[in-house]
Amino acid sequence: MSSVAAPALVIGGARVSRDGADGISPLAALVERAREGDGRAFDRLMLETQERVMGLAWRLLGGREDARDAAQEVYLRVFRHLGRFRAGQDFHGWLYRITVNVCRDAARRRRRTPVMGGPIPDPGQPPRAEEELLGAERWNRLLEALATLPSRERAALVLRDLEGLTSEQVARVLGSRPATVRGQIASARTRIRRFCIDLADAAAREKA
Amino acid sequence: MTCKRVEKALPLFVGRDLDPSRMASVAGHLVACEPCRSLQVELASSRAWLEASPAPPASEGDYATMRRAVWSRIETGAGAGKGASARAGRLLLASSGALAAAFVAILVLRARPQIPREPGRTAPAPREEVAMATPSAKPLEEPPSPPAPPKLFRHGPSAPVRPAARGAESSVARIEFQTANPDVRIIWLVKKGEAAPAARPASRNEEVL
Repeated sequence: MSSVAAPALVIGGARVSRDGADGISPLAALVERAREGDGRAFDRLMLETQERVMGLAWRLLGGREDARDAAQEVYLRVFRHLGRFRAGQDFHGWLYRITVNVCRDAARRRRRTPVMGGPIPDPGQPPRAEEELLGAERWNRLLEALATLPSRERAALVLRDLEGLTSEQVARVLGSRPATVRGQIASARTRIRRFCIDLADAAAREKA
Repeated sequence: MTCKRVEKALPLFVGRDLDPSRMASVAGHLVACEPCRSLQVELASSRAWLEASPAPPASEGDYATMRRAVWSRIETGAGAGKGASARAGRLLLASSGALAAAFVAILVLRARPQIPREPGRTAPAPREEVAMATPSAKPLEEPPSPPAPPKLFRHGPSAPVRPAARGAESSVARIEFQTANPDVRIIWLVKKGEAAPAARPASRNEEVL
């Protein structure tokens, strides 16, 4: 029986193993290559994680421009501190922690409530179809809902319910105790429930 | 379990964030308590609404702009930090190796030694003529031509071409070598009675005279 070599994945010129055949995940391989100075691997690392980073930053800060600026800063910090990242460490957790810290710094620096004034429309890219219009409407409602939360609760809720982390993982990302995080999540869910009730009431009044 | 305690636990119950024993207690209470069940439905609905929210409407342009900005800031040194400078250097070298090589080549060409020209001396002949010409001691009579980069030894120094006439009368003999470069002439002042130096291949130091 002939042995078949483990399939390799060439991503943007950076060759990585496809799975754990050699004990290294594709992402870990990219991280390792980026640490060694492979520019294409670092670029690929951004490509692989940008939606996650931008999405989290957007939900925490509430605006496209803010999210883009924050994502830039996140990757600069990743680049700066990649040498400290230990092999085997949870890269996504590390990335989330950096993103949350960057968003906190941004909110503090601007000395304003992150989602003040509600969602920021995107005049450059108007929705084309009804489906997109509905999607944009729902996205704006989400931002409005998140804007009702204090920043710590918002971070905890987004990480738990939108990013799907466990409360223990959220606690690690936020540098808090799990019990504290569970309290923040409970409070945030209660506020979101209140928001949804108000939204439904407003819709009912409009119909009436 | 009282309704007050259940009410407090319900936000975590809907997300299964309670330990199994408390989950079971709350579930048991909900079976029998209509108001608490109603609250649980509302919380579950709002959580479902949240989870079903669309992804951020980021375009590929947003991502591309962001990545470009990151690289730009890395190149300008904004990403510098402990260990990052070396990594930045490696990354940038890796991505622009050819450019760097070309730049170095230009620098090397420009850094070739410029030999001060004596007043009144003419510029060297064009490269082709120098390569073909036999070294002579008559560059002074050549017509002026546009300046060219100095030519160093091409085949080593030539044999002595002309002992200086002035040295014949004095106690010091003057021996001159004209190199392939009309701007470079080697002159030995030898005391009479001493052997003249033999011609030898050019050393590195001589090349950069």
